[in-house]
Amino acid sequence: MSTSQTPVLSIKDLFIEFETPDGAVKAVNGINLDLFKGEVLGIVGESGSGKSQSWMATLGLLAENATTSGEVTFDGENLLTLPPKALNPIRGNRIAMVFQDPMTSLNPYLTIETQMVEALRIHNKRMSKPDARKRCVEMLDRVAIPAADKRLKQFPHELSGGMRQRVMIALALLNDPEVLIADEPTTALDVTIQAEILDILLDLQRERGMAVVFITHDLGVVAEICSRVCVMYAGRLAEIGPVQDVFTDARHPYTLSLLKATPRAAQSQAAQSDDALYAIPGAPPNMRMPPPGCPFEPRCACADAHCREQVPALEPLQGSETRLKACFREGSSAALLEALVHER
Amino acid sequence: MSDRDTILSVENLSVHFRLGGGVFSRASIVRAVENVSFALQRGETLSIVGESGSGKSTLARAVLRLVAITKGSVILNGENLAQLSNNEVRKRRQNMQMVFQDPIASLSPRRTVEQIIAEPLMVHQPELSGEERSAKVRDTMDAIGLLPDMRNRYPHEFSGGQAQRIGIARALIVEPTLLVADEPVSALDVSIQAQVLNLLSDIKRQRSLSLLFISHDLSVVQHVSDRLLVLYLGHVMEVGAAKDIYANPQHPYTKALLSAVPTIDFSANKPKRTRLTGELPSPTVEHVGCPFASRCPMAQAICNEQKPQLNTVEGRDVACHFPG
Repeated sequence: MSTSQTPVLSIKDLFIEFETPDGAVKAVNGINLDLFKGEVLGIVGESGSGKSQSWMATLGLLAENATTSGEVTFDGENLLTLPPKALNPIRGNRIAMVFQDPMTSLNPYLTIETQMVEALRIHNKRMSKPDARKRCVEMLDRVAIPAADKRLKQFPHELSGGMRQRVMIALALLNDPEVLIADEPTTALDVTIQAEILDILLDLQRERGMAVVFITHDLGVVAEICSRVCVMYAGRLAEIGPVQDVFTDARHPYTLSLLKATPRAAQSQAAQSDDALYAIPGAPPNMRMPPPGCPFEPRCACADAHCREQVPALEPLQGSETRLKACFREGSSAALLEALVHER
Repeated sequence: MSDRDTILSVENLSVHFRLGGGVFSRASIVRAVENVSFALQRGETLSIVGESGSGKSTLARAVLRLVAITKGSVILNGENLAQLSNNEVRKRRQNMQMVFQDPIASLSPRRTVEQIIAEPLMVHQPELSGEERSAKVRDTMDAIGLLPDMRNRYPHEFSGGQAQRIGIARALIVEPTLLVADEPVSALDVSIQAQVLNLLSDIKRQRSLSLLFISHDLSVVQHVSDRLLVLYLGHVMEVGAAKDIYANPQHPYTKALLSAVPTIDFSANKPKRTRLTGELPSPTVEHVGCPFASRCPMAQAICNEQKPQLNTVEGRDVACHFPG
């Protein structure tokens, strides 16, 4: 993304803490990130990296024990401080979200029609029911649901997992949002169904020029659909950049470790399956007591004393406008790889 | 495999379940596994892959006789398990152990790690003294990368990856010849998943263990398998050396499945995706023709009329009228 573009949504110094009986969990620790029009931004990270929570915060969907600080700017307003009344015309309308489990996000007592028509009419008070219904059928057609008319009359349990997730996408896109946040939308699905849904999602994204935030732990999915990727670890951004650059020439040891820990199933790479995977030693830090320095330092093959004491800032790579990383270590992906191999 | 030592041989295995059936309705029959045959050699890993509802877990459970076998035989170390009584099967379980998907849920929350890992010994080797048992638990924990100091802790104190190691230690303590792992890494994060996969391949090599590996993740499967069995609606579609199948799948279903896997591949000659439309048909229908015909891009009239038999194509077995 060029710097001249203005972002649709912009996150500044976002911190999120959860108050628990065992102390405060520092889930997100200072995120700065811009989302641009028409891009598909992949957010990757492991469980507990804060990848979902940072986006739940933008829509005011955090649990009650959460406190936030920082700014999320959308159309000139800070979403973090907007009262629900002012937030409601935005969420589900101009910014929509699709969650991982369609069974728990659809209401089991209401038909698909009731839920879709409600989503439309809550934001368009003057739309008549027949008009709304027509729009729902169009939208279901668009996500390749056969016999949309009949499906509208059904309840969520009558649909398969793949169909339910299509309904969720149709529901999210009814109001033509400028931003779609998709949180692991295909993780619970079989690969064949996943492939179909990703195709549909990408088609719709291109057609409408909306910005999509795709949260996932699957690096393969990111490589296939995203234009930019943002790698998170322990509530911080480790690395950001265009997907191909980051995946072929990772500059943060965590990104590289993650890539080396992922089994690959490309037909062209059939030969590589004999190597042992790189197993990142240890486990992610306890976010009640994050380490004082770089959060990845305890597991990092390239760390030194400096990393233990100071948190590296997210800074642009030398000579690059599009790539940033939070690591003191300079040098190419190949040099980092040597450190990993040496450790093993 | 140089060692042609067959540990497990499954022949024409079928597992059917009755579904429903009350005063006013007739029961339907779910054909979860239909006429499946395969063999597993010593020290070999055979992976079973397929979509949800393909019968892969049922097949694995039938091999251990954790579900009733409707038809066919399961021959472990020369003995047909299908013909043994429940009591006799229980004794054979020493040779065949299982690792489950959800590491925390498969461990009893009220027992210490030592009690959990020692339990199979209480059943299968009751003659051991308490001290001998403890020594075995310590040795197994050590071999699996768990610190023996952890033996008095409870499952909730462990992360997913460590809990899965406890599950593996529990399975290995009775030194089985066959280990069945049902989605053992699906619940784990990538970095932890790699630790567990490397562990499984190490112990398999050290103990020349035979592994039946069930997974929906085709990247993981490619990494661990010697041989591959592709299942669709309980039917074998393709079975053979994993390398051959990944490099050059012959069954249209295998092709579609492999091409749907998202990959980190930015090269221009990346293989094109075969799109599958529609979803898995109901498993209660008995198929006259090929069970995959309704979704197959290559299907012809004969596919709906005649069930294809397994035939050798390019060094592996394929059930298709039009392979290649």
